Amino acid sequence: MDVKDILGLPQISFPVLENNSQPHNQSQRKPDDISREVYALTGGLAPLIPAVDLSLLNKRPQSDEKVIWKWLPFKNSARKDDLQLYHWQVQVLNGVPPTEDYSFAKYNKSADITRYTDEEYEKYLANPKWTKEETDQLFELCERFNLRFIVIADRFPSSRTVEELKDRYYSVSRAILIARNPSSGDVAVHPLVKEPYNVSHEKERKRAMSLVLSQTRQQERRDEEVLAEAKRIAELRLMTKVAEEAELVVTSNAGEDVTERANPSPSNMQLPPIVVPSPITTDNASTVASLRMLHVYLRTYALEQMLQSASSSAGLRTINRVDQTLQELGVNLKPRVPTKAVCAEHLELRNEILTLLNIQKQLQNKEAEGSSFRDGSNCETTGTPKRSHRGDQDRTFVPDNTSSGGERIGKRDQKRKASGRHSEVPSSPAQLKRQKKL
Amino acid sequence: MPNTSSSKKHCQDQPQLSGPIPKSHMAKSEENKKNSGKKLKDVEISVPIVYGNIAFWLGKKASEYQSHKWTIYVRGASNEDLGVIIKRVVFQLHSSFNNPMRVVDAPPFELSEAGWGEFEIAITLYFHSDVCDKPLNLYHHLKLYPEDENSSMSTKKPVVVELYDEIVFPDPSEAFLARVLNHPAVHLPRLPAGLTLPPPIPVEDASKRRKGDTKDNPLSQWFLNFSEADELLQLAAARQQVQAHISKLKRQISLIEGQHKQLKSSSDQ
Repeated sequence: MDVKDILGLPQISFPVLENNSQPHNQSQRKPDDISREVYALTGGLAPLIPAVDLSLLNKRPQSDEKVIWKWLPFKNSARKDDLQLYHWQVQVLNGVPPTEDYSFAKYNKSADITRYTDEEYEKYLANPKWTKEETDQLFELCERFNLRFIVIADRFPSSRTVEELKDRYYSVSRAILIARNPSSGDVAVHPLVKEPYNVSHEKERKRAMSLVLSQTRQQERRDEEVLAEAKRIAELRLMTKVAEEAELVVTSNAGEDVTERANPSPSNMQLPPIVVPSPITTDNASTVASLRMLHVYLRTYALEQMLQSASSSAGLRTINRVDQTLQELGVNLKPRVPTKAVCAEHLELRNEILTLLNIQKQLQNKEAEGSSFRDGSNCETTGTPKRSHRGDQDRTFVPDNTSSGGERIGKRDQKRKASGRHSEVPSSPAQLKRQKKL
Repeated sequence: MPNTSSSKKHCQDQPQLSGPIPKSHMAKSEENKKNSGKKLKDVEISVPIVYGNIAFWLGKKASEYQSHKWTIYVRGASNEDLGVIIKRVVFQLHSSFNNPMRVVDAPPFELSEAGWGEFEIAITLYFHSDVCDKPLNLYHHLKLYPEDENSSMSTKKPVVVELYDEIVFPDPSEAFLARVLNHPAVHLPRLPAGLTLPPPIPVEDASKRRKGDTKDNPLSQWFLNFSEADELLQLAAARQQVQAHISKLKRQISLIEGQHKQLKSSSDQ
């Protein structure tokens, strides 16, 4: 906001002046010469460069002499007829009327259109798609409307698209130029010659523009998402590539003699490191090796590295569950007193929680296995005596079994009858255990 | 000696890598000076530190731009002198301060200022040449206002935020080790038997200039205590719980597996 910032001038560093970025900020002071409401219209901030010198606005003309205006004729070189027009002009003191050209005449510019002769047309410019008549008409209109092709396209007697008209005009002009200056090198630099008009490219470009303009908000959002996703994937790939390279470097370095100080040691970064040590070391030993490379580090940093290497092998959800479990156990997610012993214990605890979660999952799988094991109807193979037994077990189970799914009740009708009494015995302890757990 | 941490558990964790590499593999040089370059691979030196800030509200004397008087510091965890290890500390303040890069050359490594805003301070620790070539960075968010919005600020009771951490030197030089062998600020593991160290070469003695430890620093009454005992207890209890849970689940699994087997064998008949 400060002009001095933009210009790069050194600032006067009173703590008074520049506490702008602090949370308890007051709004900027308004300049004195315009009213508060007007200033607020600008958004409460001063413009970078004031458009008008504010002090001049309030100035009044100081001279006391009378200013005389006269109604005088003037010359206008922009007009092609002889019409004489008049306007008010300030009378200059010495009485001589000004004889300059009308001040706006200099803006009367038009495009430079080369016209061809008939011979030239026959020699160079003949084209199956265009008659001479049409080409003549085109050039007439171009001159009249100063190359405003949209208007020209409107006015053109036969319907031609803007691209076609442009194409014809530019190719004709180009051909004429080259024909008239075959040997001159200057022509080659002429933009018409250097960059010929490309119809298909133009059509494509306009189509793409209209697509972009007509995109709905939804499409915009979706496009942004896709791009962001692509960027993320690209970065990930880059990171893994860098990490792989870094790992190779780290593991090869770990074996070397560390006393060689000549080796460029990696900078000790407290921020998430980029190259060495790599954050995606999957091995505990390699984390340790990369830490050693640092020569000095903070215990909390080391802990973080270990955690990151552990979490790269597990998923984000697992890590969240571990964190949740830690909280339930009343343990700080980051130890308050991170000594060596405490950090070691912390890591061990996390590993044990991971084991716990794995075992829980195993247990669930086993139980699911068990239920599908008995529920033979899930299998599509041909009926075997084995399954008939299970079907029977089904029947005996169902009344007692509360945890197994209700879908089995319908399916047991398909089973053949067979003796399965002996199966009751092992089932009931399982039932009891399951009910107890529930 | 309380510092030779034979009572501490962590010494059992040494070494983490493959066993101690015999000294003959280390780069030996005839010059005596180069001897300090010898590193010990199976010894890890850790220096517990506490860093943070104390902020006093100035009450009536507060102006708009100077509402608090605060001190940021790095101290030994038990208020020991860090000058043995740290040569100087650089505090990088907010750019609105005059000369925002403040250098403290001698312990106690602290900096006092007056202001109104909270911002992140970058603390860079530079070590003596035989300790480590590279500086270490810490970041601390200066806290002036109490957590609880409703609690009134008093000029007597400051806002204190301290964080415990340890500086770890995984492969210290022999010279460094010799120098800090019995210093209370430094934690050493049990040294390998038969380790002979060269006589300690004193570094520039900063304690001649100022008192290095913070034992009778006027602010020491506000310092917090960090004991690892509580944390260890907490963790041990948690681990026990988890282990018990694990064994319970393991039993359940084996039970179910047993059942499956029985069912399978019974249906095979």
